[in-house]
Amino acid sequence: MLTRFVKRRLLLVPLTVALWAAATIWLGAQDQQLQRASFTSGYLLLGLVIFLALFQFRKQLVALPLGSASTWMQLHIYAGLGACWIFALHVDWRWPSGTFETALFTLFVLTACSGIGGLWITRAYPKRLAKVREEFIYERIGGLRDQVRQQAHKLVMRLLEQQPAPIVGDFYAQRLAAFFDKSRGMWYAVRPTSRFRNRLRAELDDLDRYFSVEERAASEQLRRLIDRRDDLDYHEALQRQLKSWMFAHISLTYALLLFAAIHTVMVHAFWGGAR
Amino acid sequence: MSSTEAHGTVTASPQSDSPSADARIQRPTRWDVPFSSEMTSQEVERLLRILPFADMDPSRFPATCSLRDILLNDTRVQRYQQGDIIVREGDYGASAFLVLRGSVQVFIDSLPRAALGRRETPRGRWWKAISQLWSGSAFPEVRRFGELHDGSQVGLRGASEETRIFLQDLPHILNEYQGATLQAGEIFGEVAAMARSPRGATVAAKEDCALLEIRWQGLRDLMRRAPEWKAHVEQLYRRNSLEAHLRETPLLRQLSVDQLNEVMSATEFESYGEFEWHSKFQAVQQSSPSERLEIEPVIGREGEVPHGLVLIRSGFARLSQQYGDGHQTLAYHGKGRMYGLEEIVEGWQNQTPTPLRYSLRAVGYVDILRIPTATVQQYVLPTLSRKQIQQLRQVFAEPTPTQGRFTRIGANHGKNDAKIETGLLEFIVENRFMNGAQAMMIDLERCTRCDDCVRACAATHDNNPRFIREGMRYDRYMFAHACMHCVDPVCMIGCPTGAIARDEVTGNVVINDRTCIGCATCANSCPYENIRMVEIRDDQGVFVADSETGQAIIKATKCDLCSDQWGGPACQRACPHDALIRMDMTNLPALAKWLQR
Repeated sequence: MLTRFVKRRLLLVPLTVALWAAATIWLGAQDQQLQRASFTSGYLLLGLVIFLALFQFRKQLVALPLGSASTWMQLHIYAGLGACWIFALHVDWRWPSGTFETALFTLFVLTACSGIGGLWITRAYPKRLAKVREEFIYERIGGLRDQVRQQAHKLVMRLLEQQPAPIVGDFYAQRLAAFFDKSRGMWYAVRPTSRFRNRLRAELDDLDRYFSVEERAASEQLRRLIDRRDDLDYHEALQRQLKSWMFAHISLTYALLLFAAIHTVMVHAFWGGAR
Repeated sequence: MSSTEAHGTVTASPQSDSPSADARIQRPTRWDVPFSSEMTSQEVERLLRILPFADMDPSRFPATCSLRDILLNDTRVQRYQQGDIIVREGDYGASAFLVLRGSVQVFIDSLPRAALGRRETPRGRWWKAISQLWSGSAFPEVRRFGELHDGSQVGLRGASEETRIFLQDLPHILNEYQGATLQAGEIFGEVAAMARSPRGATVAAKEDCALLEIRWQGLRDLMRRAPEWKAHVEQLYRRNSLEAHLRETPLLRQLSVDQLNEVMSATEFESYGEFEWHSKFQAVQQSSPSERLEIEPVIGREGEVPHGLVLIRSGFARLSQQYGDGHQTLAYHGKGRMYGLEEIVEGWQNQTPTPLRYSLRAVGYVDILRIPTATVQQYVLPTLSRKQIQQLRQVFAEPTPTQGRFTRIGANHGKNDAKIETGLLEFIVENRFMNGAQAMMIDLERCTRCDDCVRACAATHDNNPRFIREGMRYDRYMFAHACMHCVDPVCMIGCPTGAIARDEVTGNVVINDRTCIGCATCANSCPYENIRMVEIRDDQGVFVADSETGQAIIKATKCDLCSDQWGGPACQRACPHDALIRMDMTNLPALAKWLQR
């Protein structure tokens, strides 16, 4: 049985391909008739870029009946892919020569790449986030992390106050205090993994034979806190990437719109066609 | 053992073997908190001398639940001034009223919404929609006082739970709208209270009057112990609603008047479970699944011969089947569903009784009609063709388990039937999410945590989001803290001003800011914690305070499903990734379709 999403894809992919083909044939025909096909492809491209940028305005105008964001998203994806094809036809599959054109070309490629990359991460990252047992709201992660740090600190201090617990005390001082206190660093922010969590847990497992009964109980709680801290870091890293990607994509789009507008004005200003 | 008894004793900690001396409390009993502390023995004596109590036989009541105790603890005397609204059409209530002194007017015609203090739901205008971009308040929960006066034709008097709303032009309304007058000794509101259905009419004080308000617990016991009272309520229901209810049932549509009368006279009314299930919901959640199942009253048991065809009038019931040592939930049934049809038909066709395949248990409070098996087989089934029977069996086919993990929804028993994970069904029933007509489900495997839904909600509510994007999870699905606009809206029970009510057109549960007095009855009743109490501010961000006491003015807030916006809930429309949906949880095929999208 075909699901709704599959049916939607089966409709929109052929439709987009058909529109690509129609645009290619139309531009080719214009070229053969010695018409200015580059103007047609340019305006088509500008129109598509403006339409793509309008998605952001749709998001702002939530109270107006402008269709669901989900429908807009689908149109955005397929219109974006269509824009890439029109762009390739517009530049005639060549690297531009001038500085401004190179900048415009680069901006378009970066915007398109950020869009395609964004499409991938918006499909892949939620699945990874959903695997974490608990759901965290991004803005609250800092506070929750602080709570975990304090809980770990209090747990160890209380244990040490009650009786000598050298193994847990040393392990906390040497390994865990820094883990709970510090942030995970740049590389983790880019590619978060559970490797360090697993290593800490393995080290605790290795020490298990030396623990007193009380230390063993405390180590179990520390394990839970390590897991929670790691879950918080993992959520934060992935959610930050999701937010950063969106910020980058929108910023590039605004820059692209500006450059495209200047390009359009310049093309008309310096057009050497018949008068 | 009842759930109250099970949770009556508080122990020091879960680890301790025995509770310490100071952690012990006296076991709570039914009447620890009487309906009113102002009821006195003298008042009860006076009541016992008037009808209908004078006709009741006190010996029918056990010593632990005497008629005197019921009147002392489950009733209270309420005084109303001329024009005060006592009950509003469409409201949910948990009590009935006996007129002690004076008279009240029952409006047979529906009064206009404004006359009842209901919120009007103006649809958005283009300019208003666009201006939301810049006109949002800089402070949370700002109220513009001009907007609070929305043209309602009601006034407010009294304070706190004693607040009354009154009809400002009673003589005009009495002239304009048809009604009936009830005098001392007459009763109203009992059917809605016992059947947990919306009030059928508005009742207002025609003159200054005193009423005896009897809460549902007392009503239930009176019905149990006083046959004349039970007969009275049942007669009212039979007279007013039963015929319409049975006529709406597809199985009975083709019956002649005589046949339907036979069915009506044989039909039995039964109620199961706790009327105020929501008050014990949190405590029940702490128990194990088997304990929870244990306290759910059984309506029909797997393996037993069906005593009758069960028609659910209100509430929810869990359909389950023995699986190992436990019970597997296959579905939940709400208003309009039938139970036992397949077995009764099979028994009739084979001329041998067929045992029930599944058990049916009350989840919360369930009100049913039971048509005896013999009546169904004598008066109903012979009037149906083989094709009609087949069609009905398909429509009312029970879900079937498939390899333990999934339940197949649909009658085809084929591969194309939609399936729902059994664990999800258990989760929905355990947490009472089946009550949601507009539950917010988020697919966490598609949600990018962009918060566009929260922003859209805030943008359409003056920068105040009306839900929280967190909540209970089952696997990849989250049930967010957003008002579910419940089928059984327990939040509406007890609102002293009727500020929280169902929109007559959309059925959504909405709050009228103007008549909300901030008593928090609704927020405390909501088992899902989806109503928040907020301190309101003026345009300048200053907290608004009561001019007399200086205390902050508080209002109840919750999701209104964007009832004054175009296009439905903004949260759902704002999700670019098809991750969020407002789902009618009573519609299992729709749920299955969404899950398999």
